[in-house]
Amino acid sequence: MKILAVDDDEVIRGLLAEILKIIGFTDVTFAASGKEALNILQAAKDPFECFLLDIEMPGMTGITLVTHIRKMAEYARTPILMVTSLAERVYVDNAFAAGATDYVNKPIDVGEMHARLQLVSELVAERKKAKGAHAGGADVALAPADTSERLHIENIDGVIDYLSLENYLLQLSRLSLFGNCAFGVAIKDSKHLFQGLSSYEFHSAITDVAEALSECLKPHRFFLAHIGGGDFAGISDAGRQFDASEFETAVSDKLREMDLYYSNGRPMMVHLAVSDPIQLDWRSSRSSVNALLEAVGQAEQKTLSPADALIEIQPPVKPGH
Amino acid sequence: MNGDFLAGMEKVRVKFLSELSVRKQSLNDAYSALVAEGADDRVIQDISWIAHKVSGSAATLGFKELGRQASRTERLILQSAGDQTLDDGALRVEVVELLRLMDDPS
Repeated sequence: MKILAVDDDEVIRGLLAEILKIIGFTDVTFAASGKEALNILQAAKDPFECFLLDIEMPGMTGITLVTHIRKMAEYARTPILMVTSLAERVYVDNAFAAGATDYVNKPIDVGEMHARLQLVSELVAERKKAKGAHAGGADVALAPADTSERLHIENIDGVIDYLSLENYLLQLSRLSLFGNCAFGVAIKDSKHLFQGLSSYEFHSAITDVAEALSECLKPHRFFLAHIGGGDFAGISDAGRQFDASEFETAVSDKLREMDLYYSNGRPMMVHLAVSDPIQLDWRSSRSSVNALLEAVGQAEQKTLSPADALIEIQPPVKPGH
Repeated sequence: MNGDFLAGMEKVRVKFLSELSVRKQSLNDAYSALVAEGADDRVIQDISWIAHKVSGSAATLGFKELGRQASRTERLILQSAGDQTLDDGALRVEVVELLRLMDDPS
């Protein structure tokens, strides 16, 4: 995996070089500033596959550098790990909002760094494989959508990839989850709604819904991710003030106002269900991540009509009964 | 641990210690200014920067107490950033302890 590591401190660059070597990553380029990193990126023949960025650097901070990197089309989804001693929530929030994938605290723990980079390396390999499978085929945007895919949605406040959302939650749980809640959103009858759509159409529809959700979650601090199909998982610091039915109504109004259409001009009627908030206050890190999926499960249940819900929860009848 | 790794880390450690003596001098200067002129923005910024640099690498290189003290000093400054609530006396105590550990990091 080709890595670009940026840190203004020569000692940290030396440390990273040794740690990365021992855990098996030898294709590493170092930069001492954000400016130098951007020059390296512009000159690179083969793109980098992972970034390790310090936050507090003179000139350009690591968070500003993330914003610049994310604006480059080839690096829109490249994993970015912040490696920093700044553990305060404001830095964590700003890093993930700018597009960071993960957050590693200094002092660097060799085992932890190994585990995080191993995951990233697997993700990079998976994406390479998927890219290879698409290469040479028909126009990907026009191909039928794989609606189970977790979409990467850009340029909407608070909307990040699911992997980043999980990592954010894990990082936050080291500080304090008090006052935060997890919630799930599910689009009703999404199977039929998205049936026969091209990848481009599916992406556009999900992006529109994400935009409506984002607008209605403000002014609270939140992050939201698409997790496949018509489902979204999120975390908000609205905590006990999070009112699922009020939010559901606000998003429905927003979607009506946005007036969505299929590419053939037919109106797209999107209805959705929002789970009750799950308060994260005292949850452990793993259990808070589970709460995200629990919330989505609840939202999915709410999308079912009462009759469907009954079928769903009834145990199968044994033969002969 | 593999021998190459330990040798590599030793080189980084030597580099860290040589930089530490330079940083200690800068922190001494900042401390003198803190005592003479009080906590003005430039002095606070200098102390915060040195503490940040030391906290980033000290503990990874085995200087755990030094790393902890540098973090504590940095956190004290960050927590009061912008609201003018920094207690000069508390900062002096933290800086003196940080200087002591920089003198004898082991």
